[in-house]
Amino acid sequence: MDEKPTVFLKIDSLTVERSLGFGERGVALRGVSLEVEKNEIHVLGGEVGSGKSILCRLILGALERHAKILSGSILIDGEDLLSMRNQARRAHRRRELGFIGRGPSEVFNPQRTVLQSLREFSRLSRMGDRVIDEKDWSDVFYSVGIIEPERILPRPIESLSLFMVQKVALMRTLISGAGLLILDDATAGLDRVAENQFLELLAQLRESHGLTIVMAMGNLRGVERFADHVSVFFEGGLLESRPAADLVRSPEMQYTREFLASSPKLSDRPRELPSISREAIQEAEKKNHGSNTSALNTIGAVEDSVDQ
Amino acid sequence: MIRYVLHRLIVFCIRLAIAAIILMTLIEVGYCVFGGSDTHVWEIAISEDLDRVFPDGEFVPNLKTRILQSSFVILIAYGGTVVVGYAWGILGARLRRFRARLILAVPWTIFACAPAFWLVVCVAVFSFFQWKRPGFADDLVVETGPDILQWWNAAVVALPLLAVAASWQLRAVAGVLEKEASQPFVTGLFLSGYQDEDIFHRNIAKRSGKQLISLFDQTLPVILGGLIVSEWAFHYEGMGALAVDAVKSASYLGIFIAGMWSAVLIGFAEVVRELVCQEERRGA
Amino acid sequence: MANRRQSKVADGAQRVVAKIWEIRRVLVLVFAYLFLFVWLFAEGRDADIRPSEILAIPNDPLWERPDSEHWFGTTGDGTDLFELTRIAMATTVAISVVISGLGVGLTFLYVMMFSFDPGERRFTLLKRIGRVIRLLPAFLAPVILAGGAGGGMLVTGLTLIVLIAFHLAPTVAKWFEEGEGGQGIQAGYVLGLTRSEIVTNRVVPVVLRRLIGVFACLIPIITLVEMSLSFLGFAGDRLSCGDLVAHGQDVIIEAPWMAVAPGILATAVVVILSLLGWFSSTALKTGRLPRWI
Repeated sequence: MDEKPTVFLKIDSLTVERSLGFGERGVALRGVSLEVEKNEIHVLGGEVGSGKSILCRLILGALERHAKILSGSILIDGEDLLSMRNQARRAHRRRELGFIGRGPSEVFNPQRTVLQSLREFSRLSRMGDRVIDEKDWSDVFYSVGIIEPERILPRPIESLSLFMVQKVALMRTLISGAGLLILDDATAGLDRVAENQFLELLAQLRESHGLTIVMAMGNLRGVERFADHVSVFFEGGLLESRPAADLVRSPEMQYTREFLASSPKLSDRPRELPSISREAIQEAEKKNHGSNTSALNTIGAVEDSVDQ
Repeated sequence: MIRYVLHRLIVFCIRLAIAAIILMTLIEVGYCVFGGSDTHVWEIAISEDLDRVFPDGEFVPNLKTRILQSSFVILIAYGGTVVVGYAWGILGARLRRFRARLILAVPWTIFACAPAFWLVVCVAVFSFFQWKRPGFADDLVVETGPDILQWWNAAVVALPLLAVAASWQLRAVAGVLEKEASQPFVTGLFLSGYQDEDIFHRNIAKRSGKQLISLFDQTLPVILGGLIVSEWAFHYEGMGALAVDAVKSASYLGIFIAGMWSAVLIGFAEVVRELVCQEERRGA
Repeated sequence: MANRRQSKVADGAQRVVAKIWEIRRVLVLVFAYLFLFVWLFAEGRDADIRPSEILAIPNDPLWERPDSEHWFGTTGDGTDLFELTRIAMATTVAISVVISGLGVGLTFLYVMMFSFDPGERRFTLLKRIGRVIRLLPAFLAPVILAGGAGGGMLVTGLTLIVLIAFHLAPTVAKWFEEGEGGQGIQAGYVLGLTRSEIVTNRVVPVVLRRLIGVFACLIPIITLVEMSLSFLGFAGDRLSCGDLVAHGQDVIIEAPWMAVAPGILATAVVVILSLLGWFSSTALKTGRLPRWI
């Protein structure tokens, strides 16, 4: 009997405005709505500046200083994140969410040793009931592929390779008992082999620890091999959100098609590096501005009230 | 470790020797080259030279008294600078969102803009007219009982110096901490759910430890330089006033002693800082 | 970028407005400095006043306490003390500006002597000299030299100029090193530019801009130093605030305002100069200043 999939993360009509300086305001997210099911690997794809990172940070409950949420909601396992107070949101982030950024300096104090970092985070997460005690860490080390933990524990984070740092970051998420893992461009800087290994590791942890994973990626190469669902962003708006295999096989939008094809390939004949065509961009803009009328109405209402 | 300490002490002695050469050069250039004096640095008669600044002939007791007097001033000025500078600097960095560094530094900076000699003269005037008691340091001598007046006089001389040094120290300490706080890992810790106190005290402040320690001896040259005019203005008989007395009476030895006393203090503070930072580096 | 620009016209207009806004900040500072200097150097008594003449106490002193007509009271011969203090401050500030400017200029030349050396440790000697200079309190050198020479602005000025150069040089050397380590500079080397071209066209303009900020911050410091030297009697027989306070000490019972009042204006001017210096260094993006500024 098939179990009805449960929605773990639900984002509903989220619109975020951001100050660009000199009084100008831009829309960072336009009426974004998506659902992430439990134990799913959900990839957010798109160009630089398309809104993926802002969305990741919002899910973590951290808003940029010059940004403002105009409308929408974020529900994580039924709890409304945006209605929480700051302290509650921070505690929630500590216990329920994990975060892995682009490099070691975005996640850890580089001068701390691995053991110090893990112990400190374990102490901070102490309020959660799923925290794993230090005596049980050896299993977790094995889960993330660290075979000889005693060799890396006394080493400072800055002395480790990027791949090892990402594994330690995964370790940190697991020992806190977090249910949702957010990765923001975590595979940037990894070589192809390490990237594949990392993605495989994520898939394994999804199965073994019941993690729900949301990943922001600028490159959707091979995404159908490890992801369950893919959402493609363009200029703050969600273009399409479909199962990975369907999206790769038959993308609806020309922009998505060209974005998927934009990896450079070696060829016998010289050819231009692929990029997104003007027609694809126009189609995507039309969809963004045309379909998101509720978001535009909200922005208009806010501007009117400010003018008054 | 012992080898490192010995190495720093040898460097300290070399620095003192260089300071002595610089002082003698300054005296020679000032008096002989610019001033046209016929008495060169290497030609002075010691007792005659010392008589110009210690006329009653008691060189050692007078020198001890002057060193003690100046020690009180330095204790207040330098001690206050370290306490205020570090405490307020850390507070300023902790409240960086509210620009607390600038707000906390403003009163000290305004105070530091007032000439030190004028401040002490104002205190002397106020003391005379409002409290009906002598104004300057040499106006009254306590013959019996505890000499609380000593601390009052030292405090008057020290406070303008404290203002200058504290305003710099506060901004420097807060600046170091704020620079660490702008590192990308701070955002990462925040996104991971760390509390502000944990981020600031356990990570930012710890990382800045060595840099903060390296700041503690930076204000001493400013305090010792300000001592010269501050003591003279308040008629306070310390080593700073000795420097001015010696310059005015062309006592080369007096200038040399006052200058070397400063050099010893600055050099010693530097050695202590180097030793502590070395320990800090090894412990990290 | 989250929002593509609507049109190039709007984009261009925004850039122009931004540029004007940036220049406006510097313009405001320029006007502020101009206003202060015009007020200080406004027409008044002959600036070449000898304190020994004007501050000598006559047999029947014409002292007046501060009141609405004479804000700072008068001297023994009836001269308005506020006006006298203004003239004294004008002299002090003028001297400070000249000393600061020459000091910064000498620093730049001093560092440039070493900057074209291709060796990696080209600034080592300069830094060593700077470290040696810091063994003694900076104020002691002008006291010894000016005192030994019998007082006089020339000796004091020269000493301060040289001191500024020695103290500032290690910081400026660090700016050169930072400038030459930038990625843009590496690109310049790759493109085939010579070291002289890179230093002259890329690094020097940035250093000069920062030095202007340092110059602005140095003026109030040298003002305080000059006043202190004149208080000690080492700045020659020339009107200065320090001299006024020193003479005021002699008549502190009869006319206490003679010692107290000049310092009020001196403090106010130094506060204004400090604020202007700070704003200037921020507007010029001077960055982290040497520790003693």
